[in-house]
Amino acid sequence: MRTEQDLRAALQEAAARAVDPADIADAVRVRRRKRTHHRRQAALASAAVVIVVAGGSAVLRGGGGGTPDATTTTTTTTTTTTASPTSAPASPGPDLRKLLPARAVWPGAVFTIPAEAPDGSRYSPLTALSPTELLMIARTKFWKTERLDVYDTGTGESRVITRMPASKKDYYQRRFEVGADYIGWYGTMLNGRKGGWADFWVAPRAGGAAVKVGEVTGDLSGVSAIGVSSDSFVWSIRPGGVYRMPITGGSPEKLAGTDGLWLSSWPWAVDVPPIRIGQVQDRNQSKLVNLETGETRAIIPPAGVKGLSCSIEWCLGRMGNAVIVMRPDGSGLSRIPVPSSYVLPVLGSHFAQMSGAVIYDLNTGKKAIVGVRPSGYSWEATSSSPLLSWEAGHGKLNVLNLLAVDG
Amino acid sequence: MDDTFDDFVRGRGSALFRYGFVLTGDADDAADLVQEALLRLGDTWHRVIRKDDPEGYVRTIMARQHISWWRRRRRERLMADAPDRGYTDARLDGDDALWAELGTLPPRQRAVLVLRYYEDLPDAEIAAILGVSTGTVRSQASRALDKLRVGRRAALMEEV
Repeated sequence: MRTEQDLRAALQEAAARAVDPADIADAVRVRRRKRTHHRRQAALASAAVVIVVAGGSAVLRGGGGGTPDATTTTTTTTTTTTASPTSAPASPGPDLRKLLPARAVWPGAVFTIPAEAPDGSRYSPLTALSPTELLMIARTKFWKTERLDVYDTGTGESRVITRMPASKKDYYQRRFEVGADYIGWYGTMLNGRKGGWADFWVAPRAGGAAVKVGEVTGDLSGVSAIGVSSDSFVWSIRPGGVYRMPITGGSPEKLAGTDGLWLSSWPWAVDVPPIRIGQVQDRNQSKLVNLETGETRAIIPPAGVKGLSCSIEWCLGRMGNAVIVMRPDGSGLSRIPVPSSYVLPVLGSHFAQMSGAVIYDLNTGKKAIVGVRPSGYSWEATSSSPLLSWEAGHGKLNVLNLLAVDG
Repeated sequence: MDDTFDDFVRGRGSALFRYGFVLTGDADDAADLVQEALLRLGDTWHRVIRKDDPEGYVRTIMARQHISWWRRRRRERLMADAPDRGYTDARLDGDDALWAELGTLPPRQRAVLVLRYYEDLPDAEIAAILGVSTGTVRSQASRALDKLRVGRRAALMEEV
């Protein structure tokens, strides 16, 4: 018999799997503009009602909604299912009834925090900086990013790290990343300038004014991941290749030997492109490269594994209907009986999130359930963010800080 | 004139799309649903923001729109191709049986389950969103859970 928790997990997993069309905001703007235009025209022609109604029904795609549609931007949802009729039947998932909530399994790592900053702006947890410090995005009532704060779960106090510089109307911050000394981010314009454009910023991790590192256009602005070293802003681009720009300003410079590499988490790069959440990756990662030292670690995927993806401590991949985990050197191979045809990257240094709400500690084998409420999801989080958050109701958020899990 | 509307769409578009995806089970339908709901929100933005809950407004529109579109699309589809197919799951992974079975539910039952188990809303609020009675919410939920063979036990995680 299935449980209500199984249903929750199925819905959350499906939501995580849905490929997020990047262009919703653009599409809405274009259609709003068109509608306004139509309405003006229609009013002139004294036929407003007819035209508006026609415009409104145009969104229904010819009744073919159930068929894959080559013209949409969101057709990547599925792809391959590895199961063949002869393969083993899907393993039963973890018995969610037997799992305990994260607060019971890791009592020192789950915190209930306010969903609002002291000044009333909305808080979205971005990542954890330490076992007690959470990096928070503070947004206006209407979700414009205003500043970065650190919230201390020990003292319950927050402090401002940096304020977002004034920007043009269509500008928005795409992604943040935490380095040893700096927090970096990049932004683009909503409508995309012809040929692409992005700018790079850093602020001291200890707090201080935001500093603009530079701007890029063209291929260099198609950012797949960012990182901040002690002296440079680093990023990889979608076709592969890693670049740097000195924090003090200067020209973009390609790091030697990074063709076919993508930044994973500075200084590590990998030889598979980052997947968009929901996309299924079949390719296996075959190496980890340290861009500071040049060290390369070869990864040998076990036979039958697909979509193997490794951080420096752990790899996750799919085998048949199960998920496998192993160390990048091939040791510690084991199978997690979760029916899943997609795998999210390793969380923090040694955690995996599966079935939507189940968090596995790959080092200890402990697992727990988090109550992930979708409106609390933050998809712009940093790489392998060691933080999960969900709404607690009554103006509060619950967070699981994986840096505070001590075994 | 309405920067705040653009901010809202940028900030919440992704989460709303995911909500649309669990409601419809289909990425294209979800994108349509979100866009249409946001267009309607845009038309009434200044009235809605005075009440301070644009997100609740959009989610309500999406739930209702999903139910009414489904009726219309099903009609179109029945007329278009004789061998009837389910509304959803044409492009889903085969692994997740429960998700696939959600696609066999009538849209109102599905919406009730999504609001209850994805949005975590109490039945009274679900009733208000869908414009039906609380009793209807309960009976629809109960029917849907039976169909999916989901047992009702004491909630596992009241407080996580």
